[in-house]
Amino acid sequence: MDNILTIRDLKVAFQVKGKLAYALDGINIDIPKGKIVGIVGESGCGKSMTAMSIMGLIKNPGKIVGGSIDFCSTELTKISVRDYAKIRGKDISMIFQEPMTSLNPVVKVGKQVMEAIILHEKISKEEAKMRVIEIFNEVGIPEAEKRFNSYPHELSGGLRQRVMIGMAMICKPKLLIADEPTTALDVTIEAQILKLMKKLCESVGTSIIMITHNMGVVAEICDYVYVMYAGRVVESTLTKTLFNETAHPYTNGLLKSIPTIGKKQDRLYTIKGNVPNILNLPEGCRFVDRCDYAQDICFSSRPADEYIKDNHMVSCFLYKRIEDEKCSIKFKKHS
Amino acid sequence: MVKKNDNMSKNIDRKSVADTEILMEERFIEKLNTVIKQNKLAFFSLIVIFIIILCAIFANVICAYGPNAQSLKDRLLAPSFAHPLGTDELGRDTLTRVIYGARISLTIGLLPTFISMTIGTILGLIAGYFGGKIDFAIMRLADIMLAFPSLLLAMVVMYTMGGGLINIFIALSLVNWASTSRVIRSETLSLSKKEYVEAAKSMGVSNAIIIFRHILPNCIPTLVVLFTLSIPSAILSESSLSFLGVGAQPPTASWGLMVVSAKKYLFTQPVLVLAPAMAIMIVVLAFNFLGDGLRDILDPYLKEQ
Repeated sequence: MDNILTIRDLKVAFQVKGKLAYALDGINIDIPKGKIVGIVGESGCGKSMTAMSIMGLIKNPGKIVGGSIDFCSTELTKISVRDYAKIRGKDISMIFQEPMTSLNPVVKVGKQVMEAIILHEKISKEEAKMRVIEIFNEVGIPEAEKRFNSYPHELSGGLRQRVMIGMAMICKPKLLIADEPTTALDVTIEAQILKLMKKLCESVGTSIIMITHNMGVVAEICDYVYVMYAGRVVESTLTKTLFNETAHPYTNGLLKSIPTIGKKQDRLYTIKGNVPNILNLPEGCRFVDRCDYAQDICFSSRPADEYIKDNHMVSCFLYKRIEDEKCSIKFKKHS
Repeated sequence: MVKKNDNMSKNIDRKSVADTEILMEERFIEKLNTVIKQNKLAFFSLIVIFIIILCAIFANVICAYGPNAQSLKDRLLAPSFAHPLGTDELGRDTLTRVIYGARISLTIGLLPTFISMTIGTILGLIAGYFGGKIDFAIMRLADIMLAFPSLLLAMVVMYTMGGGLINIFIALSLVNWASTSRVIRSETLSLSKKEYVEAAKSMGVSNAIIIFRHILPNCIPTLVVLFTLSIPSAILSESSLSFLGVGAQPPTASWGLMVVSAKKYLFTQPVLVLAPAMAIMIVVLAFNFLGDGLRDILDPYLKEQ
């Protein structure tokens, strides 16, 4: 499979009180062409940081301190600001979490979408307007011509997110980064938006990075999943494998935390504790304090990324040990 | 596929959209009514300002005399039908001169304020958006300007360049940008952290376009209020400078100048001093009330954001 984006050993750090705090600590991610890849994890795991480093929009004092981001054989960590601006919006575009605040309240939505296309393609204003109306129709905005002249506050959340998708898709990007695109929307709209994104990307051949903490979204549209924890990828595999053959205790915890219909529970399962402070990480495995399966080795050294199968990477000692003893993993089934 | 789904929603929407439009129009008028009711003073001030502006523009039409037409046999006349506010020591009609004085005061109020606001806005936007050393340099410069009494600074400029209207323009434009740049900088600081700015960046929009298309329009409510509230201070500065003799030079019909030349007759012919003084007061108050009213109207909108 050709990958349009390959991230190798990417490290992003913040200078805090003279110390380097690693928000991303050596992550490897491959995005195959035309596929939807999910990145899941709790808040503060580095999901959005991954997106921002691909976009080259990490804010000071954050910095990429190591590793490479290879996008269609362009090394993104090394190109100039000007070249980056040419790629942003054209080849890589992004949908933000909050459709309410991602649109400028004093600029007509049509104009905002037009901005993207005029910037990257040499076309006249009339043509650009036609393209905008076209994409508004495609993303399912009723009365596109009228909506072109609407201000963001005149649109509902769902419509605004459609505008955002239109804005991101208008230049037919190779990669679309969606940072929790449906978190602010209600569930019925969520399904529509997800379907729309999937359909648009299939027709254009765009790959999507779907950043979410919603396992339902992952199950719905992702082909491949990366599970992140405290700045590291702890498990990555095909969506189906992730749900059926969960390997990492953290992933298992995430899956167990989802309430299930028809099953009476007094109390919903939670992973105890919080994501560790990146300034004060445990010496061994980062998940050790919260892990039900922690053993001595977990406290002292860090697990390596192990491929336990084709396309199934896990970073956990537990798994290795079990494999060594040739017995199968027996987690409590999550559903 | 999507289009099929849309056709249905399109038909449903069309009617409701038309309805909402009528509703919105009605709502707008209703809203305007309540706004006027809640801000009677501001609305009244607006009318006063409007009348003064009209008087200033059509001064040569409504006045029976010229502003500098002397008639020495009619010196220091008391108010009468021919001269509603009497005449000054050179027999010039006071009302005429007050009306002509409005021209100077309003141009001084509007133009230098506009220029200094433009300078202040641009510097504030740059400081707030780019931050770091640029921000530091611009803000320290603004601090220095603010630390210096502005009237004194204007006087220094006037003394070195000499009196006259053009020089007042320049002096007032150079002196008053600092406070604007401060306010706009803080607005820009908060606006540049907004998600739509991030979104614009993620589309590869350049800094200049982000500043002028995404940040500046959001500052406009603040600028409008700031502008109306800065006008009276500019008018006052001009009057003070003219009063002190470094502003407009005689025989220009300027309110400050009229007060200073009439102060000899304060007890014999008080209307000579009172007329221009009242004119200054009315214009300054009207602009202040209007500015306050505008702030009341625009502030809740800002809070909503």
